[in-house]
Amino acid sequence: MERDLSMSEPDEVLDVTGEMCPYPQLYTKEKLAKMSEGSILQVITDHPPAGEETIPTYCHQKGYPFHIEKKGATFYIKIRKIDS
Amino acid sequence: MSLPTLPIETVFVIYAVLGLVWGIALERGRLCFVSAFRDIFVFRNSLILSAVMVSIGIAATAVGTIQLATGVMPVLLPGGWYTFVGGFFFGMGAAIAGGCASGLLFRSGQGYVPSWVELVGFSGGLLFWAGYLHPFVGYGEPLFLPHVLGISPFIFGLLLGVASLSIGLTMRFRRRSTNPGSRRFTLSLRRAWDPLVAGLVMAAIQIILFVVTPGWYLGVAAPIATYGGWVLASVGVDMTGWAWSEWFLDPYPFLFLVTFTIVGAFIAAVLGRDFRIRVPKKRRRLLQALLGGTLAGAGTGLAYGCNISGFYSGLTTKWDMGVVLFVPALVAGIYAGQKITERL
Repeated sequence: MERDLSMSEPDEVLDVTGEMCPYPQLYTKEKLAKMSEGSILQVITDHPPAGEETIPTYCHQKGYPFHIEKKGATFYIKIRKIDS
Repeated sequence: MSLPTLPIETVFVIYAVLGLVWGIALERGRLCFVSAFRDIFVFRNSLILSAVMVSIGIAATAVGTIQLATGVMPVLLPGGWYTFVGGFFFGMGAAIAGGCASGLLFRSGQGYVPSWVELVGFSGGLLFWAGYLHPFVGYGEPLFLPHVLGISPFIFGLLLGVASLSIGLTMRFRRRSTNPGSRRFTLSLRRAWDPLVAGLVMAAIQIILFVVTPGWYLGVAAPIATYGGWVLASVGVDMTGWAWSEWFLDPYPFLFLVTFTIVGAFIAAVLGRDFRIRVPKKRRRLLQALLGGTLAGAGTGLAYGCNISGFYSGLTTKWDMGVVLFVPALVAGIYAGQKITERL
């Protein structure tokens, strides 16, 4: 996890609250594919497997730094798209 | 050694407690069987499937040993073309709806509105099978695989158990990309569990069920049909002669198991601060849940199995010919359902 991401403003926000697998990670993947390198995406999801496992694992696989904050049942995930 | 026969009221209480524990474990471990396979197909992530395989390995070995010690046979179900076709439609419907039979139970407890809708569809699909498909299928006699192969159930369970455990542990320790994540090897109700913990709890429940009610195993479909059967009975539908109609009348152990699974998941979600009424912004997701659930329910009836009774109990306990047909059909169905889901 990248610490300075928590303070950074996202360039784009993807709100997938209410969606369950596979949509949160699928939409995250599609959204990141359209974004330019260096930009930050914030994903908002209340689907536990997406916030705990699938989106972080996808970021790991791609080498994208990310930061997760959980407020109540909602996860706020900031992801920086980098060259991978 | 013979197993004791317990009074039915005691069995009800034991099943209710096991249901509660199972619901907590499924919810905390987010143990979704559709995700177990889909995460492999789509995201190359084996975390959940490895937990399921380890769980199957332990339960199969233990159940085989109990069969050797007690001579108790599992309750067998017929297997044939209907198992394959039903298994495929179950997998496809579950993937489209977003949850398998156990997944829809624990997500209902977590507050997912699509899972409530899927529950209605699943019940409707099961009742459609019970009333209108079942009479035309022509189910055959069950075959017990260890007898077909000429080996003892103990050896069969041991071979299957060791194979499953080896696959599960290999997957677990060879994961290419590990996520530091927030899932822990814990039983704390405040934290999300490593799915392996939920898998171990599930194996223990399967073993206890087989001993408490000799020959029985985890299954969730009949009670879901019962809920719908009560609704149909209340509006005066005559269900005489329907399959499973005897289960629409008096309470039976699995009714307690499944009902308390939902309750357990609800309690775990509240304690873990994960409970939330979740309504998808895209309203078509509710239609997906209803239609996928109906397809999954009808498939479960046709196959006499879902991801729990057909797949998990099939591999850990039942060992009838149906499991040979159900498992590949389930995997193919989830794959097909996933391909459809990506376009919706």
